[in-house]
Amino acid sequence: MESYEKLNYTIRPSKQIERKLFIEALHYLGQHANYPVRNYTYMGFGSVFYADFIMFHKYLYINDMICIEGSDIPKRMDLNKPYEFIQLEMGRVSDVLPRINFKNTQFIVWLDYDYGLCAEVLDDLDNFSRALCPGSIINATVEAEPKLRDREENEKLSRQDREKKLIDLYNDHFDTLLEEPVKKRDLAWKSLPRLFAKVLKSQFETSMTKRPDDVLFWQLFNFRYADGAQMLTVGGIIDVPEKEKQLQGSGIYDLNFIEAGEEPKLISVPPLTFREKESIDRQIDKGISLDKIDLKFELRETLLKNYLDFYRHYPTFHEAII
Amino acid sequence: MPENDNVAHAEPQKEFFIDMLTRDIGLTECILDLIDNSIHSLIRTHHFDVMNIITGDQKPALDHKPTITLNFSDSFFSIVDSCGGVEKKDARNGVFLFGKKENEKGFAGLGLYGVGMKRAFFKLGRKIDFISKTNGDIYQIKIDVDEWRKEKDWTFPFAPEPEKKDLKTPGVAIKISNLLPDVAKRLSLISFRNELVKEIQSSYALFIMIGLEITVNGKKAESRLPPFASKRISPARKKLEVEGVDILIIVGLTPKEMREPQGWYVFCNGRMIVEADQSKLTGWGEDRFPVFANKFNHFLGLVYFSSMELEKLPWTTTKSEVVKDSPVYQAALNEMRIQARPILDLLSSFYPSAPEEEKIVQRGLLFDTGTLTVDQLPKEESLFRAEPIVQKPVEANINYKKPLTDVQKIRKRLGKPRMPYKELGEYTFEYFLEKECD
Repeated sequence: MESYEKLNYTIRPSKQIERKLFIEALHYLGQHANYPVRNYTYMGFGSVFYADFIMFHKYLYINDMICIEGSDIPKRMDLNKPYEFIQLEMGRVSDVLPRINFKNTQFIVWLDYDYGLCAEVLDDLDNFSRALCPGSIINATVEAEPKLRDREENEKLSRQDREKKLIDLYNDHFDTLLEEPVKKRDLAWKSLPRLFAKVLKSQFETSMTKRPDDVLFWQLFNFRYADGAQMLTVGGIIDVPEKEKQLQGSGIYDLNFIEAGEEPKLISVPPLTFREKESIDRQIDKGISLDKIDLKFELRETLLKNYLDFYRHYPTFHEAII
Repeated sequence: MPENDNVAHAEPQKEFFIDMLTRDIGLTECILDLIDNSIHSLIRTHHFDVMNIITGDQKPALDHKPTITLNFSDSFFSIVDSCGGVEKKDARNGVFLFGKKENEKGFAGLGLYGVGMKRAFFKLGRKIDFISKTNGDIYQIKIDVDEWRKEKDWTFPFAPEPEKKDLKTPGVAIKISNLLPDVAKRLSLISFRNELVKEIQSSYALFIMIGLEITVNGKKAESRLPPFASKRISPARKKLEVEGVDILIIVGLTPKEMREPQGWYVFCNGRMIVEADQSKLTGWGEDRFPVFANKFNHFLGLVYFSSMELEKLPWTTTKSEVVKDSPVYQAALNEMRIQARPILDLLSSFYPSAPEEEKIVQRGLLFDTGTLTVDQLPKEESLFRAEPIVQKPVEANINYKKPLTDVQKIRKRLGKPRMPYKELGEYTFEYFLEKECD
């Protein structure tokens, strides 16, 4: 790949598209499936940028928000807090959980980890999934790279040893959640997200069986993307079985980015200049099709297709002099 | 009576109740069932809720000092209480039924299935003498099990003229004789008495705490419930309500002097059902929750279930285990995991695989504690807190040997030919620190 095709991952365009798709899905649920998401409480890992908090307040009108931060940077977190109504909770998820009041509150939870799927992540998801009120939405993002969490160990080991270690580790952690044990071919860069997606869905579904009430998990999101390291997001709705019909009837499953299955949807877009982007956009008519676009510059067909898939959510970045 | 060929008979058999039902339960549990009945009467007649000890600001007061006195030897077993007695109308159509028609409403009692007392009778002996005195009446029922077994009738007649015996205050006196051989053998053992006292001390810890006196062959039972560590550590407290059952979870650590491993204690309407559990029953080693290990010895978790609707509580008929599948218990279990986690993480951090100096200092938290019993704990919801120990910078000891000629070179360069070795070592260390480190 040429350098101009590479992504500037400091601004993470795929991540931004993912957020926008999520917002669109939630709007849809609000409008067509009777989920009053604007009254929900959002809980996530804001980090100092609070990007998701700002967007979800602006576009989903949510103003009950809890931000969990595990690093010991309370002053930075407080300084950067964009809105007073954001409740900042310092600590690991397991430390913060006992403080959260789940009763009579529907949540949107997005646990956006910057490391791979491990027992700790599954534990957090398990605890949340057992505690959330019906109607709540939960998303998990994990890194999907075949590597060990300990960087030193990861680099020290030979490829074979690393793979062997990973397989043992995964089999240990995912043991009860998978039908078949993890094999070497699951570790391939393109296969790993699918393996993780299976584990995550299975975890959500297993947690439902540990609840005292009768609820189900319906997966809606299964994205993979790589602004830098490859990431995977899996999520959906926790609700009572009676809601299934309503959900089916709403047409949400017809949206092209909704994925209830185990094969993750790829979010990938080419970096384009404003002129390039505009030259494509102005040709977009009702019912976009690839062959109707008269390309005025060099762009591989797959990249054009990717662009057309997500053109409405394609982020453009400007330098702003503040 | 002509046989009807078109039906399969399903009538209960007395043999089942006398010989079979008693197999599933131990002798100790049977005796505890009789104590449960006494306490049930006490709760009904005095309308108190022992849970107030833990949830309310004041201990509930009892107007008289109720007693339950057990005496036994190899020839008899007796239990006498001053807990209010059972009214004759309840005896006529309720207390002696096998199974309950419907549960009593309006108080958080201990009598649920309507099986415990009869099961205890049959488990222990073959002659039973039951006397009850209430404020209104007194009556006696005598049962000869071997005679009753032969009768078709399912009733126990009231004795025409009750012997007053030693019942001064309203209560129940039960005497069982013609003990079964192995029961007689066990009741004569001093070890059995001691074990029974131990069981009573935990099972009824809360009731004893508010003034109920239970004696076994002259030995008075003391309330036995581990206290919580306080001072730098404060326990978490969480309330929830599920399907009409109030659940209270308290988790913390035991003080340093408590050596024995703890775990979870489960109570239903004040009665301890599970003691210091370290098994899957309370979530250990299940769904990635850690298996109980030595490092968790100080972990103490209490779970209280309280409801006036007794059938909703997660206890089994033997009251020695919880019904794990019950939605109420599942909900509690989910919350127990969440509340326990920070404590287990803290304990685990004290014993890392590669010990760091800092962690060992923090472990000292466990040894600098005060003590609070459960009735002394603050009543508002709270989170687990452990105040870290403020520590002096950790020092390392450096000790090395170098050729004397090299040492002389440094002394010479410094212009201090008699500089002591220690000072020279410190000087060179500080020199490097200043010039090379941030």
